[in-house]
Amino acid sequence: MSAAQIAFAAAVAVTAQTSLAWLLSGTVVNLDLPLVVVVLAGLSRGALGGLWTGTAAGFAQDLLSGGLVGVSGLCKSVVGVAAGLAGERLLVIAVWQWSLILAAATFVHAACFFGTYVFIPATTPIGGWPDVAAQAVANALTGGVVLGIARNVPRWRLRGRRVRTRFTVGQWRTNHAP
Amino acid sequence: MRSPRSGYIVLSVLVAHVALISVQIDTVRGTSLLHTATFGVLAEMQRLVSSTVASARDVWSGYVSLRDVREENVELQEMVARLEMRVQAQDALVRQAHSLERLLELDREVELLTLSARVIGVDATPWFRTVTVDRGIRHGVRLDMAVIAPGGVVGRVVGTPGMRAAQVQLIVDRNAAAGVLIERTRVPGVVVGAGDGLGLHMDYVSNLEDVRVGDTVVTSGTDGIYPHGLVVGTVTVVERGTDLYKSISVEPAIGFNRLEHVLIVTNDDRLAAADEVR
Repeated sequence: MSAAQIAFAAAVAVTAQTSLAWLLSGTVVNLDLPLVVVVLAGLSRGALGGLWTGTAAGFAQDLLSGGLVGVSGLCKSVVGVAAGLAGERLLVIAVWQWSLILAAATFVHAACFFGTYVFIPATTPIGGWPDVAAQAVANALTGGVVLGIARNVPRWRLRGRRVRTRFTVGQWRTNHAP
Repeated sequence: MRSPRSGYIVLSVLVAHVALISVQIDTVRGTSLLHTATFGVLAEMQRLVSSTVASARDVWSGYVSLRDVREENVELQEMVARLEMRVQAQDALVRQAHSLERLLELDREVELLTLSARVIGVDATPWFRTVTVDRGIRHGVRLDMAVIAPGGVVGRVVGTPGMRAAQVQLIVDRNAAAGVLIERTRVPGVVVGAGDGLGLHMDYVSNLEDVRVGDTVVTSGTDGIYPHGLVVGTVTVVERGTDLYKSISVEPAIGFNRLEHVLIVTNDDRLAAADEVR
């Protein structure tokens, strides 16, 4: 993934998290789409890619949240770096492996998030570890689906191109048949 | 991340995050300028997405799903007739109440000035309960203004509002609180958001007080934010506490799912009015 693609994905994730999901379902969805993008960026672009994506996505998320600005940014940066290090050291190829890392990253992110707020008694987040577990499953599934789609897009494009080429050649033959 | 330079970058960014958080804790206004500027930009993105989705939904409901409109129209006409009857009865009661007020020489409650707003986004994390509305400084919205809906209390404006958007902390957020009364017995207390982000707890009600399941909880106006007499919710559980106070659960009057339109209370003299009523 290029830096522009990652930036676009992070912007889409934050917007989708705050607007689309709620407008379509009417409920607050226990999903962290920016975290999914941060982990995917870390795994594909390395620790620094994960760091910058985490900083940008977390900062945007903090601004549209009731929490303190910087907490999500801090935790997503940590997760992005960790995902980048994992991607550099481990062989992560299959979709299920990416999903497993996403689930683990959700727990790391939650530990950092709730841990930071322990030191800020004036602001307390809602929810607990059962919610984090549910989010880990949701994030892993969403990441798996996104990755599956992203990997299949070139194949679908190629197939579409072949069909178009076959149609064009067939048409030419029909039109120019003696 | 093999070079030491990358390590320094990571360390610097993390330290910058911690510094940013610390600045907000130390000062009340902290990063307001940065926050206002960037919040405004992000809120515009939310507004764009929200308008697009709302337009698409309107097109769908307006042109495609017109199948049951006729039956619905008949039902609505019947409902309007029933409501008109009820309004007439309510008008009669209001006139009666006003005449009694005059007899008792009571001051009448000042009407609330409100500004309608549309919800354009929800909290970016599942760990807080806030929404973004499409009214900001340009429309006269300011910090700590109460936000209500026809059903009752929604929350209050938090953070520095943007030019055309503001963030509203819902009453069910864990960090939200409001001064309230049990309507039937006038027992005072404080409602705070429960840990699940769905319900409310009413605190500081003595074990000796009379509170029952089904009692209506209304704002007392003592907190300086919410005007007096707005419905907050209904008592669902009352238990005798182990200490001095009862453990009371309250179901909010507002269904926070599908919250699309709200009213921001804009009149400055609302507290004076509340005091007069008290």
